[in-house]
Amino acid sequence: MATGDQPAAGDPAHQAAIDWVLALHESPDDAALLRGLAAWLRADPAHSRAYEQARQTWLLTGLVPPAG
Amino acid sequence: MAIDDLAAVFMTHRKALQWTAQKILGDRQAAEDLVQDAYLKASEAAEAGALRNPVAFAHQVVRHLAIDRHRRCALEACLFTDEASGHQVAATMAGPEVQAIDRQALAQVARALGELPARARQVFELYRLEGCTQREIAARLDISPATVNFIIRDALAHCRAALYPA
Repeated sequence: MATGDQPAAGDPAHQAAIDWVLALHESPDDAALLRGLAAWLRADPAHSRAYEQARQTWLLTGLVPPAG
Repeated sequence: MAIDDLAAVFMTHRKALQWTAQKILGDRQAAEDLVQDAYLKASEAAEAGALRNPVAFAHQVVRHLAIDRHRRCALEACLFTDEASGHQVAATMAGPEVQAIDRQALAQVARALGELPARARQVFELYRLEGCTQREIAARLDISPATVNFIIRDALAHCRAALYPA
């Protein structure tokens, strides 16, 4: 997987992508936020890949049965 | 184990589950399709462990799948309506095969969440599954909002790294 296509583990794109996912969760109906995200995704293909991973991670954590 | 329970829940609570999805998606047919999909996902997720409340879990899966779908559609619309360059970005977004949720990924995330310290797990579940705000969690557990925010970001980073090893 370490082909250079994947953002590296410590890549700031991953943290930024997680922050976008959290921001959308906090403000789901914020059109300006969505436009900001679209601009960020457009800036670099690595951003799109990082966002896709963060979105899928967020979704999967919502599908796990509660532990306690 | 809980699979039969879950089938019964999706049958008995079908209307309520569809309504949960419809409120988010705003479309009846899309809501019906989503509940079908949610049943398959929930069955796979339920294999990971015991379900104490299958009804609540069914609603949890429907709600989170619907929100994800709704958000993806809104983002894609945003990307497509902006300049021509939007097309290229949209094309790099994952196709259906990438979005497929397999049981292995669910197990990986469940394991990653299980690796978190108890307090971090508690914070993350309150936020992700119970829908508490970060401020509410801080007050409830008597920790600073900054700590809550750090724990949530760290938990997600941990899960992402487990799902997508470098």
